[in-house]
Amino acid sequence: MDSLVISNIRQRPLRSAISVLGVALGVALVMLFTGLARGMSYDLQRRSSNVRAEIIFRRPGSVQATSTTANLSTKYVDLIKQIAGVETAVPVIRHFYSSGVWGVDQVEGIDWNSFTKMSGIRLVQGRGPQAFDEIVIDETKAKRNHPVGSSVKLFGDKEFRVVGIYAPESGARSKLSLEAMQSALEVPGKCSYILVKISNPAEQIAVAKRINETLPGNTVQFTAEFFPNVENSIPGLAIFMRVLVILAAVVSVLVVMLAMHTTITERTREIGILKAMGASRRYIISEIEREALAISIMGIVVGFVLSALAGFFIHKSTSLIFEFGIWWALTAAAIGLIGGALGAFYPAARAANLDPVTALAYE
Amino acid sequence: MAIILKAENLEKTYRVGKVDVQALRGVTLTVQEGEFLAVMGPSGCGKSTMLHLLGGLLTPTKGRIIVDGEDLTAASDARRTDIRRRKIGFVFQRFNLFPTLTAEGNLRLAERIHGNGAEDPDRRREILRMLKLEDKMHHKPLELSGGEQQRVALARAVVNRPAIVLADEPTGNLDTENSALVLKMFRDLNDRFNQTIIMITHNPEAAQACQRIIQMRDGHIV
Repeated sequence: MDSLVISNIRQRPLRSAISVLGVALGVALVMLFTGLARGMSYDLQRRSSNVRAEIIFRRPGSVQATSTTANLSTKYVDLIKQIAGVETAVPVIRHFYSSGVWGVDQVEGIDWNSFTKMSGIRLVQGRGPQAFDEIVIDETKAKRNHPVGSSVKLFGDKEFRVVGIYAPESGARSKLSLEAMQSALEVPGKCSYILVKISNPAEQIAVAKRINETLPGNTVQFTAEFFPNVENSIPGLAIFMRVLVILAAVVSVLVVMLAMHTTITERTREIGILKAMGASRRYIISEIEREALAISIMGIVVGFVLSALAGFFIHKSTSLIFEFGIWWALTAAAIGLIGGALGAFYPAARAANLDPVTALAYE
Repeated sequence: MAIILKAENLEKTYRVGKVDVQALRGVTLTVQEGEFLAVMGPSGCGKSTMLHLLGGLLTPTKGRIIVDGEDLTAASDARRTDIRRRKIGFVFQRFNLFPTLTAEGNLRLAERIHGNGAEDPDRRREILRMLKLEDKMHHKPLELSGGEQQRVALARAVVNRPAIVLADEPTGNLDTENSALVLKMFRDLNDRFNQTIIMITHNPEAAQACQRIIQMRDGHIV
């Protein structure tokens, strides 16, 4: 098709490609970071909900985003079981250690039988942990080259043998026996918190109140509140994501502005010809804006493809989970389009105001 | 014959650094509809300045220009652009075609800028046929000779039926043979469509193709 917009884009393929990539970068940044935050958040919530306990009983301040303290006596387990409405109570030590992509990972020490009964997780390979150097992992962790019989290092360089793989994901991906964890952390008779399953979930508020009244001075919390989404648990993450979105928009604006400025400088005489032909300011601005929007649209498509590919390969190599949302995709697309339109506007306005005689004489 | 263009006492002064340069010093000109007029004169006498003023690309320092009943000098920039779009066609010495568009694409662009509804493929093909460019429609300017490019430029200038065609040294970059061909096309347009043409030229032979020749010197018509 004989279109000035398409032919101008094709005339400078390298510059057009760089402009498209600039917009794509902004789009991909938004998609990848929001996808990662959503993925982490949903993964956390999914694993938390698979615990199938409605209440967490703990000491105040014992659990933070990346640290826990095993300062709760396991004697509370039997006391809680005696409270009306409680179906079962399971002690858990949650421990964070240096590892992996994020620099920190977590492992749980549990009573395997009571935990599996409460949460409904099942072994798909192997058996539950018995010895102090045995560990059970979920299928996602197992896919990262950790089959049954392999070793995982925890607590520095101590090796633990993978004796079983479980599903579905529930809580931490790695689980030791409670005794093994107590031994490793030197906290006999202690746990981080107690998971409480209610006989009738509709009565969870009443049961929580009863636990609080029976065992005052502790923190009784609903698991839905305890395992919030990532955005709420990491301070400043929401602000970080907003700043990121703004940066992505700025990148798109600057790239398109630079590309259009260069284009217009090169095509000064063509703009003079357009003016001699009677093209109005509005027409000239619209032609340049259409070219910028064409580049932006291509950039958006490339950005989506890049983020999908990057998400796939990052997940393959790190098991980080991406969840791309339609709302963020629309936001990224809007950033690409608006950034492109805004970026082109100043060069377009300058072009529209060029003196036609001077422009025609431009070499 | 109706008067299609009237310029009264045109003056144009440029500011070059700290110096004022008077390019036109009171030019009065009347052009009849259907006239083929040549403007001759030495370099720097104000021919191109006068052409740019008549086409609304510049505004005069003093004077008045009426094009097909519309006052160009009293108009805003947007209005002058509108008058130029509807009433003026330009042909330049350096052809000034869009290199990324085919011959037909250049004409279609002119039609799109002109607006006013759909493009007119029949008119476009008629013009291209008359200028002997039918088999060159899908060629880009780099694939055309100088003469062919200038004929495409001429086709682009007349495709929207302008009141006046302003040609600035249209044969200046052509050899003798192509110059003769392009001049013949100008004459054909003038004869067949009663197209009014004002042409700047240094070439006396080109000027002989016209019905009237005016001479300029030092910003005046002599």
